[in-house]
Order: sequence, then structure tokens, then C-alpha cells
Amino acid sequence: MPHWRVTSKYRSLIVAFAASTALSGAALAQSGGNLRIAMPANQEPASMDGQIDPYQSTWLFNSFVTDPLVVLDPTGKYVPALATSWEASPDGKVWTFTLRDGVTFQDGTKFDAEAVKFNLERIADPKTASAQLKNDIGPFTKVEVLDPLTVRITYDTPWVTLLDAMRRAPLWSPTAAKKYSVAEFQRNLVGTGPFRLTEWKQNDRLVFTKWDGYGGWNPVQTKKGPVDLDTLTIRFIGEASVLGNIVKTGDADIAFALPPSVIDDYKDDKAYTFTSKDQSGTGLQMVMNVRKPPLSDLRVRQAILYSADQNAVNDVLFDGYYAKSQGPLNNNHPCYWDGSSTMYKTDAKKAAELLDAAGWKLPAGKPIREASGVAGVTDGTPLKIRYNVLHHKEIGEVLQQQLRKSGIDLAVEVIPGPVQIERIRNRDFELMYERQRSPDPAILDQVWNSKWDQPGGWAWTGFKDAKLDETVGKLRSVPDVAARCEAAKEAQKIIMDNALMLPTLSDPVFVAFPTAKVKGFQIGSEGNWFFVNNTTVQK
Amino acid sequence: METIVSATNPQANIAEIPRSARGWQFVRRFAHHPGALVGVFVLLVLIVAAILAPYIAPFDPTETDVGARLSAPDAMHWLGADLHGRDIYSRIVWGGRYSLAVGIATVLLALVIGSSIGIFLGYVGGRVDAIGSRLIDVLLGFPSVVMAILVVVVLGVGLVNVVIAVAIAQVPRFARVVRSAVLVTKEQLYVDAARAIGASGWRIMARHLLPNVVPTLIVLGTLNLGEAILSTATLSFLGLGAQPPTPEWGAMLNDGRDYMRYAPWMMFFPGLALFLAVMSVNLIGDRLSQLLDPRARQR
Repeated sequence: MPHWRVTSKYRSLIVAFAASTALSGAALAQSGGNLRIAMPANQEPASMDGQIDPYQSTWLFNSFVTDPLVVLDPTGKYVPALATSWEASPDGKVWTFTLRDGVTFQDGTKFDAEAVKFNLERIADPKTASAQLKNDIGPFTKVEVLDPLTVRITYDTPWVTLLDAMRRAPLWSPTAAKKYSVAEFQRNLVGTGPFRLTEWKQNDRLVFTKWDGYGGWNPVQTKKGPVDLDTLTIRFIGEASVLGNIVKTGDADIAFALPPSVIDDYKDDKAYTFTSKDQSGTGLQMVMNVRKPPLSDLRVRQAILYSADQNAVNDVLFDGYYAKSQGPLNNNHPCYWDGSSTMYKTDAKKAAELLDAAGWKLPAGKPIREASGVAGVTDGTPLKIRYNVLHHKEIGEVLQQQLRKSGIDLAVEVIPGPVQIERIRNRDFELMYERQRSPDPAILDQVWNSKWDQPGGWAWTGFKDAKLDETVGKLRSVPDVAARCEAAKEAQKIIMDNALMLPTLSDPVFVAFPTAKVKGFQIGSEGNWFFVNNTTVQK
Repeated sequence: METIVSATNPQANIAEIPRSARGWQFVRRFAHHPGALVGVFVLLVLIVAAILAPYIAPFDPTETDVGARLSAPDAMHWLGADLHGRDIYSRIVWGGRYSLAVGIATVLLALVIGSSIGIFLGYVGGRVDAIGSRLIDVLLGFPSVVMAILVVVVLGVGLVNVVIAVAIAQVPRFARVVRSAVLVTKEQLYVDAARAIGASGWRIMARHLLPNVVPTLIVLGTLNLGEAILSTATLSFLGLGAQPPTPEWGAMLNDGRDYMRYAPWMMFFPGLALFLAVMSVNLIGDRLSQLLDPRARQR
């Protein structure tokens, strides 16, 4: 057997090779590469300016370009970002933020209290036409600059949900925002964040490029200075089956919001990291229009709830991967009222009794009940209830079968967004899909306070109850978190007592990426959010 | 033996043959083409299956069965089962009723409206014809499916509205072709004769012009039937047509989209049914076109 002696010549070669390998390894670790994330096409914003657009995905994309005052970190805590601290007055009417020093926008404009004031006033300006943030930030009476690093926001009424709004509110460079019109600015975003928006090819992709001047102000970021990634590309994929396979084909590094049908492909594959995260909020709820028959009758509404079996829907369609949502707030919401889960256990006999009592009788030999002495309904009218959704029609199809057993004809109809808006405007619906996502219980006020039953408002059902209005109103005014949760639970009980909505399920966000290739990707405490500040991708 | 029709004056020779003999002659000439025979056979199978659906479908097309969810084709579910455990074979057989009936209804509606407009414009002529023809040109500029989508968005989703939408999208084609045919026909001596004995414009259009464009309408209607079936399926695929749990073929294709990799039968078999229906109608249409279109006949 030959014996190899390492001569000094070989030794120097080995040392040189080892050194070059180490150097290239170090270079690989330092350089973050180009990260490509695939997402469903319906998450592409209409406007890239989150001060205008009302969707979570827009605020998420904005968070790459600009840091907010506060961040909801992956553990679910509000932590300082561009605000180093904040203080609310005991009555919840005055909020004071102390700002981080030494921060500049990507165009060199200094970030200070004047910039915060400018942004808040821009959001409130009717010309901006903010579809959501204006409501979330609330009707402040004034924004004062106390000194260059201190800003004070004052309200006439308590506004305790400001942090939840400010963690989403993008703060733009006043210089850049003034330079462009509202419509033009969305393609020329200038913020304080780790990336610049360098390309937006609609119906295809967003490309963000690293900003070398970034100071690492996001508290989630572990190192100071710019992020490692060179570019971040968000690809919008229209076909769920394509999205489901895109990481495996190598056309993306991360698949975000995967369809449940592909979960088994990733779950047990050790080459991939598969993770899911729930989204606190209302779940995929169907709100009921109580203005006219048949849903004006509480007994009919209750019968629908007694006829539905959510667990069966989950098992049949999603192998149990979806999360439960048994009330106006889904089961993983911090303020979920667990009484919802026992109030309407599936009970076909009870549903039948309620429908009989309400005058909806089952004629001999027919599968669908018909009106018999129902006020405002011609005798013989079949019990048909429209079920309007934008997506997830398969849930409706299973419910259709379940409700048919009680003699209810559930007409599942998939409608496009503009049709939904028109039907809501005309209050022309029976069961309508309405979903809000937030860990804050104030979404109950948004959906159930009758004062928001107005054009552009989110209270669609037509139900008016002084006690409910007062209870959900507290969610905007009571500063104590525990007390707010108590109010939220009381509101949920009233809503369920009156059977005003049909809870269906709650869809978690499913994410997959190759374990060896992508490092440091962090999902937020809410499934619809993530951080790439510490992410690297193998070249 | 095939009768050779004069290329210069086909009507003259045909008129000499008794009507019943002409019918048989037409059938024989039609059957002479193997593609057309295949088309007739396949279409007949699909139509008969749709008519006999209650007897030949082993399951209720809307009946769910959790245990059979996404089952591959087997002895119980010959073409497999869908996400809800519904039998795909039963759904295809029942779905033929919707897909074929909607396609035929669409073409009939478009044919009636389009040919009425075409005959009117062609006969009246002048400024009315000029304006009407330009409007038709404008409408023809829209892709028919986009036009149908626009109509459905206005009218609302559902199969009835899909019939109206696809028909509206097809009307300009019928109107244009029929108008062209009428422009030639109205110059015939018998039209002048009818006018000379005092026949009204409506009578001339109904009794003298319409019968003479019928062969054109048959060809055009058949050729458009395939497209109507496809357009209907397209709208249902997009969620604008048939609503759950209606077993329409386009809607079934949509149901199978997310499960293409795991349960390809959910898309394959409805797609095959759609393919066979459109192919058979097109084969028949092509042969009819050869036999009834004077220009094609002369070639």
C-alpha cells in the first residue's frame, strides 16, 4: 500500500486550498444572495402604498421598504423599531412616541417627529383615500412635534388600538411623498427599510434591492447595518398547483401560503422545512343578513348553526390541517370566547324543530323545506339561502350537503370582489363571506358595531343592539388588555346568542423551503407576516 | 355512385331530383366522410348518455361520500371520485345535459337574433346597413370570451346568464354572415318578382330570404356549437357559470385544478368529455360546410 508523505510543497498547496475554501465559505455566509418567494397571485396589491391599500400583503411588502414605529415581533410582542419608547395616557386619549435618533430615509431625508406628523396627516387626508389605515389610526385631533425626536398624538375619545395600527403603518419620506402625486408615489416608495422597491411588474413580480444605507433598525434584525440579501423577489403565482410545486422545481426558494393539497409533499420530506402559522382574526366567517326572511328569524339562523359540522368539513377537505373557528373570533385568537364551541353542537333534530317552529315545513317526498305561514314569504317558497364567497367554495359545498339534511338549500355562489362590493352596498345577500385578520379584538367593533353599518363600513348584517354596540365600543376605548378581552368575550356571546354568523374554518399559512438553502427566514406571530432581515440564501 | 352536381348551376340539377331522393343523397354524401361519421357517432353517444343519465349513472351526481374522497378509478367509481367523494362518471353523464344543452341553447339564441339582424340589415341596406355593419364590426373586435365575461359580470353568475352572455358574444358573427348571404340573395329575380306583386318587406325577408340562408345558418350554427360548448365550459371554469354542486364539465375541470397531481382523473375525464363533444361537433360542422356551402361545394 503506497504511503503518502506530505512534503512542504504539498503542505503549502493544502494550506492554500483550505484557506481559499474558508474564504469562499465566509464570503457565502456574508453574502445573502437573491431570495425568491412565491405567493398566491391574489396577494398582489392594487396599490403598493399601504397608506392607501387595505391589505396585509401590502403592509408586509411595505415593511421591506420602510420600518414602522413599532414591530410585532415573532413572539407576539410590540417592540420598539423607529420609536424607542411610547407612552399612553391613562385615559387612552394621548399617545407620546420617542423616536430613534440617527435614522435617515433612503433619499437622505432625516427621520424625525416632523416626518411622523407628515405621514399621519397624509393618511388622514381625504385626498389620500386611505381604505383602512385611516380608520385604524383613528380620528386624532392633533399631532404635535414636541421636539425633533418626540411626537404626541391626541384624540377626543380613547383610542387604545393605536399600536396595532402603527405596527402596520408605513412611514414614507416626506420629501419623496411631496415630490410625487399620490398615484405616482406607490411606484416610487422611499422609506427607511432594508430594501428599495426596484421593479413592480404587475401580475408577475416585485423586486426589492438591498439598501446599503440601512442601519438595521428593525428589532428583529440581529446585526446592525444592511441586510445580507442582495435582492428579494416576490413572485405572484395564479395557479395553486404551480405554487404547490414551485420550490421543488427550483423556480422559487420559499413557497408562502401553500395550498393544503400539497402539505403531505413537504411535511415528511426532510429536505424541506415545512411550517404553518395560524392567523388570528374572524376566520372564514359567513355573516348573516337579518334584514329580511328567512334570516330575519332567529330560529332559522340557529338551525343553520345546528346543521353545520365544521370538524367534518375540516376532515373531508383539509385532512384536519385547517384551524377551528367556532365563533366571531377564531379559536386561536387571544380573546376567543370558548363558550362558542359548545353553544351550537351539530344537532339535526334540534335544527328540524327550530325550522318547523319557524314555519319552514318539509313537504312529503321533497328534500327542501317550504314556507308555510312565514310572515312576508309566499307559502310554498323553498328555503333557499345564498352563500356568497370569493374563494374556498369547497367549504360551501360540504356545508351545502350538511344543510340539505335539514331541508335547507344552500346555494353556493362564487362571486368576484366587485360583485361582492355591489351586493354589500345594496345589502343584497343572505350569507356573505367577511374576514378580518388581527390579534386585536377591535375587529369585533369593526364588524358588529351598528354605527359602521354605512357605505364603506364593515358592519353588514343589519343587526342593531344597544348592548352589543356598547360592548364592542369598549374595544376601542378600554386601555387594559384583560378588560378588553372580557368585553370581546361578552360581545362574542351576544353575537352567538343571536346566531348572526356562521363560523366555518380558519386557514393557517403554510410555508415550505429547502432547509439547506434558506437560512434565517422568520414567520411573524401572525401567519400572514414574515421577516427576511436575517435571511440568507445559498447561491 | 355519387351524383355529380353541376358546378355552374347546382340549384338547377338539384331541383330536378325528388325531395326524398335528395335527402338520401345528402345523407349518403355526408356518410361518405369517415370523420363526419365518427363525429355523429360520438355526439350521439354523448347525447344518449345525457338523456339516459338517470338510468345509466350509478350514483347521484351531487351525492358526497367521504370514504371515496379522491378515489382513483376502480370497480365502484369507474372514473374515480372527486374531492367530495362524488362519482366522476355519474357527474360526467349528468354534466352532458348541462354542457350540451347550454351549448345548443346558446347557438339557437345567437342564431335567431343574429340572423334576424343580418337579414334586416342586408335587405334594408343603405345607411341603416352601414351603421349596423359598423356596429357589428366593433363587436367582432372584442374577443368573444372577454365579451361573455363582461356580460356575466353585469348580469350575474349562473348558467342562464351564461347562455345569454355567450349568445350575445356570438350574435355579431351570425349577423355578419347572414347579411352577406342576403346581399346576394336579394338580387335574385324571384325577390324582384315578389316585390313586384306587392309583397311587404317583412314577407320577403321571412318567406324568400330566410329559407335561402338556412343552409348557411346550419353550417354556421354547427361550427359555432363547438365554440359555444367551450365558452360555456370556460365561464364555468372561471366560476362564472354553473355553481356548485352542478356537474357541468367546465366547473368539474375547475374542481380538479388544485388536485391535478394527486387525482388527475378529476380533470382528465371531464376534459376528455369536453374534447369529444367539441371534436364531434366540429367534424360534423366541417362536413356540413363542404356539402351545404356553395363555395365549398364548387371546389
